[in-house]
Order: sequence, then structure tokens, then C-alpha cells
Amino acid sequence: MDQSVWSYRALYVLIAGTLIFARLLPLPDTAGGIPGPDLLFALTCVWIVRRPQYVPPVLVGLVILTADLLLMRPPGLWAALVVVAAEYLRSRTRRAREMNFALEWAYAAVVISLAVLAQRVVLIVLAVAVPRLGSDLLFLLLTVLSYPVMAFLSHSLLRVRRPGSAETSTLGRRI
Amino acid sequence: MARDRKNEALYTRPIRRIAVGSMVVLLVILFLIWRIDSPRVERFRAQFVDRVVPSFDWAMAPVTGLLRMTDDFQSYARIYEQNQELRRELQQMKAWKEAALQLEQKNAKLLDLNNVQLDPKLTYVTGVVMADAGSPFRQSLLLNVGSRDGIKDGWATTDGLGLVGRVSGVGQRTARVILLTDSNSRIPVTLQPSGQRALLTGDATSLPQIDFLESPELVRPGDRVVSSGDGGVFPSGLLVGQVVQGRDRRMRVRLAADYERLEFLRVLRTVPRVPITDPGGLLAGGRTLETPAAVNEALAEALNETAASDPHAVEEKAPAAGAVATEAEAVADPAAAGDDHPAEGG
Repeated sequence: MDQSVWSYRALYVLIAGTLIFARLLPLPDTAGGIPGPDLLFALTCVWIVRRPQYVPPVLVGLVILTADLLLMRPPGLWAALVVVAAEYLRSRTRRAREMNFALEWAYAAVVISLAVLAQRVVLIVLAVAVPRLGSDLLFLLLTVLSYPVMAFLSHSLLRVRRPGSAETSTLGRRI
Repeated sequence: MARDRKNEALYTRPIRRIAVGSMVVLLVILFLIWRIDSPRVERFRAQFVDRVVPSFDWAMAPVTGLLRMTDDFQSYARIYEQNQELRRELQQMKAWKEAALQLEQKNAKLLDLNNVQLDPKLTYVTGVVMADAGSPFRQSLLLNVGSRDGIKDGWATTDGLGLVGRVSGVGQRTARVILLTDSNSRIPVTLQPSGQRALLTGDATSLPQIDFLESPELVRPGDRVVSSGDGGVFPSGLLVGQVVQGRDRRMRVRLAADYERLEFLRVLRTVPRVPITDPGGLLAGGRTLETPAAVNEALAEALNETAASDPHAVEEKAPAAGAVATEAEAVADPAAAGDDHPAEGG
């Protein structure tokens, strides 16, 4: 396996840890305030569309489950939904490669919306207390809006880009 | 090359699918277990948090320090307005202090008149807030005290002035506090001047609402809300806040605790009340003696009294008293047999 792939996986875990840590900090956010966007989800989507091999599903599942446990969310549900959403996006990456960014964003927005909707439906069906619809919608909107930001940061700072048509892996295959 | 790729895909894709599928199933099962047997999974979560979060401490300290510094700097920038504000407040506080002193004296007199014993067992453990996970789902805090400090589930926490929440989930070194604003929080309260009982229900807004109010027309915005101690979990008489009316015309509570800056919390040691299971002990002073032991005791006392007052009558009275005693025992036995059952049931 490529050296850089593993280092990017480690980087993913590091960024995830930092994002969770930032959410845990006793920052002055009061109850009923704006629910922060799920940057981790947006980042995962961005990376999966760009370089699916950097974020294997098991890694995504474990990272989001850790976030579930630490952020006092119902454990497992959001992780399962994110893994399913990520796998769906992964199966579309070959097609997404030819898309322009607006289309890609729209794609991700639909997937994120479906995940949030599915979560809400499952929670309601199992009679778990759900947040108000407004705060869920705000959460969805902010997560979708954070997608291009994450894409830009990944592209410019972390150099997670779509492989060019001439780029090959160490084994000489097209990526 | 293309063939290679196809071959690889042929072999790895099903395996990959099975792996991903089984992981998703495992995660969903975890979620379902959480839904069915929440306490066990929450205990696991508490242990997990207990293991992970304290190791973040070294990283948290500088960030929280920096935040505090910016806060301080901001307050430094508007020091003049603050000074004016403080002067005004001081003026008001002097009036309040006078009122408080008078009330204290009055209260002391009244307590003296009533001979009230305040609960001396209410002590507290103070903990530092390590982290808060504010999300639409949960409004909770993490304290750096845990079961090694004797913290137990269900204890109340205050910030020194008002109620903040209750302990829910205790690890070895950490404890989680569910805030009153959490949508799972239900606290029995009393509304002060009207003395009505109600339930304070968190709904993930900063103003939890008042539910199950018998006559809302007796409640005015500005009424004091204190914990009522119904249900035996919370100590009674802790200040919660003031009634306000929300935009949706519902009665809500503005919390007395300063939720914006929770740094130190007091966890109140709540000593569980002694449950009363035996009704006989309460009724013994009344008209009936239901347990055979009580009957015997009463008869023995009566005997002693007669013996002390009239030594000559002992020979005459003793056989009669003995007969009464055996008779009483015979009567009391079925009663005792009937009495045992509720005690066992309880």
C-alpha cells in the first residue's frame, strides 16, 4: 500500500480528533443556540469524492462512532448513516469525477439531507426525544454550507485532489 | 491491465460489501441496544468518556485559558461602562442588603418560634467543569469528580446560587451532569407565592417550560421557582429561577444559575430518606396495638405500674394480668400473621 495513503488516513483521524475536541471545549455556547455544522461529515464526503482510498469505511465508522460516544449523541445511529451515505457517494465517485463542483455539491447536499432525515425518522419511530425541526434544518443547512469550505481547505491546504487522468498508483494502475 | 482490475474487483468487491454491511449492522445493533437497555450503554459511554476526556486535559487548559483571557480583555476594553454599571448595581444592592438583613432577622425569629431543624446532612462536593457537549440532542456537562469522590447518580448540582442539573452517569474520575435545559430533564418544582407543584421540563431551549400546572392563572411572571423535593431524588428548597412568559404564551423559567459561565459546580450529597415500610410503629401511640411485641410491652408496663403503686395487689392481679396477656397474644397472633404479608410485599 502506498505510503501517502496511510499518512492521509492518519491525517483524517487527527483532523477528526481535533474537530471532536473543539466541540468538547467549554466554549460559551448556550442552550438553544445554533447547532454547529457536522464538519466531520462534510469532510468525509469531500474526501470520499476526491480520494476514496483515504477514507476506508471501517475508519469512517470508528471515527464517527467515537464522535457519537463523546458528543452524547445516540451511539451508533449517526455512524451507521454516515457510513451508508459515504458508501453511496463512494460508489458514485467514478461518475462524480466528470462532474463540475456545483453538481458535486448538489449531490452531497442530497446525501446529507437524506442522512439527517433518516436519523430524524428513526429517532421518532423509536420514540427518542428529537430536537426541534428548526434546529435540525439549521444543522442540515450549515452542514451543506460547510461542504464547499471543507472542499476548499482540503484542496488548497491538505492537497486532497481528484487524481488526474495520467496519475497512477505504485502498481501502475490508473487510480 | 483492464483484466487485472476486473479480476480484483470480482474478488474484493463482495468481501468489501460484506465487511461494510456487517459494520453497519453492528452499529445499528449498538443503537438498538442503547434504545432498549440504555443504562448499560450509557455506563459504557461514561467509561469511554472517563478514559478519553481527561487525556485531553493538557490540550484543554491552554484553550480555556486563552478564552478566559479574551473575555477578560473584552471586559477591560469597556471598563468605564462597567464601572458605571457596577455603581448602579451597588446602589441597588445596598437596598437589597438592607432588606435581606431585615428578612434574616425576621426569619431567624420565625425559625426560633417554630423550632425548625434544618437538614444538617446537606454537604457538597465541588467539581470543575471539564467539557460540555452542547448539541441539539443533549445539554450536558462533564465534571472532574466521579465515583472515587463518592458521587452517585441522581444527585443535584448547583453553581452556588441556582440549580444547574442532576448527575446522570458516573465514571471513576468523571461525572456527567444533565442540565435542566436538556430535553430529558424533568424536575419537580414549587412555584413560590402560590405554592403550586409543577414539573420543570427541559426542551433544549435556554428557558425550560413548566408543565402539569394545576391553575396557571395563579402564576405570574416573576414568581420564584424552587425545587420541591417530590419523588425523594432532589433536596427541596433549592432555588431554580423565576417564571417568565415565553413568546408562545407558555410559562417558562429563567434559570438562576448562570449557564453562560459554568466553571465550578457543587454536587449536593443527598442522603436518601429512610423509607417507612412498617405502619405499626406510627400507629402504636393511637388506639390499636397490632404487633404482639407491642402488646406484651404495654401489658408489662401496666403490670409494673400497678406493682409500684400497690404492692399488695400483685398476688391478686398477677394471675388476671397473665390471663389477659395470653388472651391478648391469642388475639394478636392472627393480626400479626396478617400484618407480616404487607411487610414482605414491601
